[in-house]
Amino acid sequence: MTLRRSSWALGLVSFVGLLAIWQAAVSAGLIGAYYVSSPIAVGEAFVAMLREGTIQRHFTASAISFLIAFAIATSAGVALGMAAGMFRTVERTLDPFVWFLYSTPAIALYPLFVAWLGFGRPTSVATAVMFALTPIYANTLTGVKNVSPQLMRMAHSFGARPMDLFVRIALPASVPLIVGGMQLGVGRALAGVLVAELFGANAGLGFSIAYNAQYMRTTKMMVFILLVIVCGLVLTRAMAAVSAMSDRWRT
Amino acid sequence: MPQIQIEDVSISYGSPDAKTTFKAVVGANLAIEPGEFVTIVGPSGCGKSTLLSAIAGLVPYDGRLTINGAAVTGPGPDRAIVFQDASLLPWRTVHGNVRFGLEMQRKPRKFIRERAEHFIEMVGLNAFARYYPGQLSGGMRQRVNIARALAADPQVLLMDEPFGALDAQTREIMGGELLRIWEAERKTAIFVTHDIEEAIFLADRVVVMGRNPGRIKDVIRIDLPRRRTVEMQEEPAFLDLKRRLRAYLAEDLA
Amino acid sequence: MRAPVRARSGRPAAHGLERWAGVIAVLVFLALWEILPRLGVVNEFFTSRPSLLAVAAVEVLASAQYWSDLALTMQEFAVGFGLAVVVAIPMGLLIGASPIARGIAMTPMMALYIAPSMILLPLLILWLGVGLASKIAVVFIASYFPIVINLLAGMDEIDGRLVRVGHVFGASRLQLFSTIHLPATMPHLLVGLRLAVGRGLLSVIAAEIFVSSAGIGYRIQMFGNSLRIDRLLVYALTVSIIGYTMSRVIGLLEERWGARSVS
Ligand SMILES: Nc1ncnc2c1ncn2[C@@H]1O[C@H](COP(=O)(O)OP(=O)(O)O)[C@@H](O)[C@H]1O
Ligand SMILES: [Mg+2]
Repeated sequence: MTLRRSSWALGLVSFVGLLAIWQAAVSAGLIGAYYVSSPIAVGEAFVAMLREGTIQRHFTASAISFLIAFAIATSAGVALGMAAGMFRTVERTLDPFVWFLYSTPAIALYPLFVAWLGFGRPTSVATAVMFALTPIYANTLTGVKNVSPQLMRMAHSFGARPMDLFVRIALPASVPLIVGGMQLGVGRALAGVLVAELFGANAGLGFSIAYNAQYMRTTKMMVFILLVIVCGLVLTRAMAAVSAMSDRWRT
Repeated sequence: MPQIQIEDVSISYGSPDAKTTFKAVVGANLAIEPGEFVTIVGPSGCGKSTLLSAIAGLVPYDGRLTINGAAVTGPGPDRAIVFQDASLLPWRTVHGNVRFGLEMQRKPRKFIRERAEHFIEMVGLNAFARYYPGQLSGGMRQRVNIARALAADPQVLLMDEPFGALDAQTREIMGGELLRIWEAERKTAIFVTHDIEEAIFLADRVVVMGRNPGRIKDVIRIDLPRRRTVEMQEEPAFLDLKRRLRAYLAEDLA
Repeated sequence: MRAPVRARSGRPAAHGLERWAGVIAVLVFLALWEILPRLGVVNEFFTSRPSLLAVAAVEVLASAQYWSDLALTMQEFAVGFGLAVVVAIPMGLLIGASPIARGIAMTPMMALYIAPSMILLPLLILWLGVGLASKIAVVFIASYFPIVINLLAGMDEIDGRLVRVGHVFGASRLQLFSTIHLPATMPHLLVGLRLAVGRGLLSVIAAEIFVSSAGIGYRIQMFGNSLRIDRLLVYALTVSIIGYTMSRVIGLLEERWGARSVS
């Protein structure tokens, strides 16, 4: 996604502007603080919860689930994608299952995970893996299939064995596309963790949003919503940076 | 005894549905001595690359094709190919690319490093060992290609239009460099080109191929003295050979 | 003599067994799913079996409730998605027409595009109550941002490429818009719509799981709680079929108007 052209300055303007409008609307009594809280209240609540360690606890809980899920989705997606890219039989075998996963909003399987794994981290992780797996798999597969035949031929001429072709040619040549898949997967894994936490967990950012909502604590809920939005932006930016680095390989 | 023997070799390509085959080369005969420099010229599509690929063990063939008396059944460490530049690994440095063949041969680390450094120096890329192919000029990339092939220590060096993508001046310089390296290493060399001057300048013998069907039409010995120089290209003997070859190739285009 | 040299490609052409690998894999999967619970290797209670699933499917499809659940879910989805399309396209074109407006709007929109829209559901419930409105709203939000963001990205790109050409021929702003912007944004719009459909469908199911008393999501949740895995799967497969159908429809549109290169 092209974000490059919108400069930092304009982004800052819109960010400060939104906060100002939000605060002004609440201060002027246009909207009840009950519905939207206010930037100042949110800021205060954030600092207070930071002191208590509440933020850290929930952030860590979500971060751990996210990292586990993302690691599983990435390793499984890359391994399956590589295998499918190298052997057409594997690709055809996986095809119907991939199609199923691709068309099914993974959330429909969430109650099944709850039935199997109960509420808590295993279910969050399983949901997030389902969310993130397909783009990583699909991108890896595309990457391997598009490895330059010239490179394969070159390696073959130097006596490369199948394992060499895999590790030294197909894998590194696919890195930019794998990273692209991971870029798509990051947002989806985050969504998977948060949605699962929203529905049933005892810790995490998603849990905190649902929990505070239950008690009509709009301000605290806002703190966690904004935190999630910031996490999403930071993760996406970080992946974009990784992607830019791996793109150098293509030139 | 010749090092490479090609007897009545034909090479066909199957179509994707494997129902029809296309004969790219028919009835080729050629014997190449150890340490000889042979160039192959011919119009495009006459099967030059195909014949070279068969010697490299990359395509199946009918007939007899032996190296040191043993039939070619696939790629082997006795041969190495200098490809066009698109075959360098873009994610490896010059050093990393030159190592590649030795890594495939499972040589010890220290040996690989020293040998790679030696050949990088031989092709004059010392200062660029840590550069990536994307940061090099076309001529430099071809030096890397040559170094990679030589580092694998083959007896036979196979080259398919290695300088085809270079401008005329760089091409001439690279030709001279190649001869210098070949004279130092004394490998058997087979070099495909469609440039007549290049073919004569480099070769002990020029193999002329024709098309429809792809075949070897003639083999011409180049009796110019070794230590070839650029000035030689103006001498009557050289110009004479050039005229002869051009006439040969023109036949095919008529 | 035919020299036994290996083919150069690592991927030989498909034929015979290979072509049927997918079908075979599915059959093996179904067979294992049927047999393993029967042998007691896995607990049927948690996995159900294809034969039980078939029976459940017949029962469920014959019930009026299934169809009313389906109708409700589709209604929530259609209204939310429809509103998103109707609002997002003019918004995207409007904002996109000015590079400054684009710069200002991009960051907050991007933030909401990246964040899972489901986290806003509790807030939406606070604002709109637990009825239809909050579900429609979450579908709207989930579908709106992919469309706008992709339109903006498209306009961004077109400004760089095509408009320069247009200016050379002295086209007016309106001409540029109708002859260059509009058709050239089509592939981006379709990418946005594809994402929007997926996210919208996900959101409606998630919202129904979160808070609802009817609809496909609610029913999946309910059958999960009561461990009626067979019925749960019938409803989950319904979602898959809807998802598959919609992505095929978008796929057809993309074949007609899309650019395969945009992703
Ligand atoms: N992989 C292939 N499959 C089918 N036909 C091929 C293949 N490679 C080359 N050919 C055909 O074989 C003939 C000889 O090709 P090639 O050896 O590349 O010629 P040259 O290198 O002399 O230009 C051409 O007609 C070409 O179209
Ligand atoms: Mg050729």
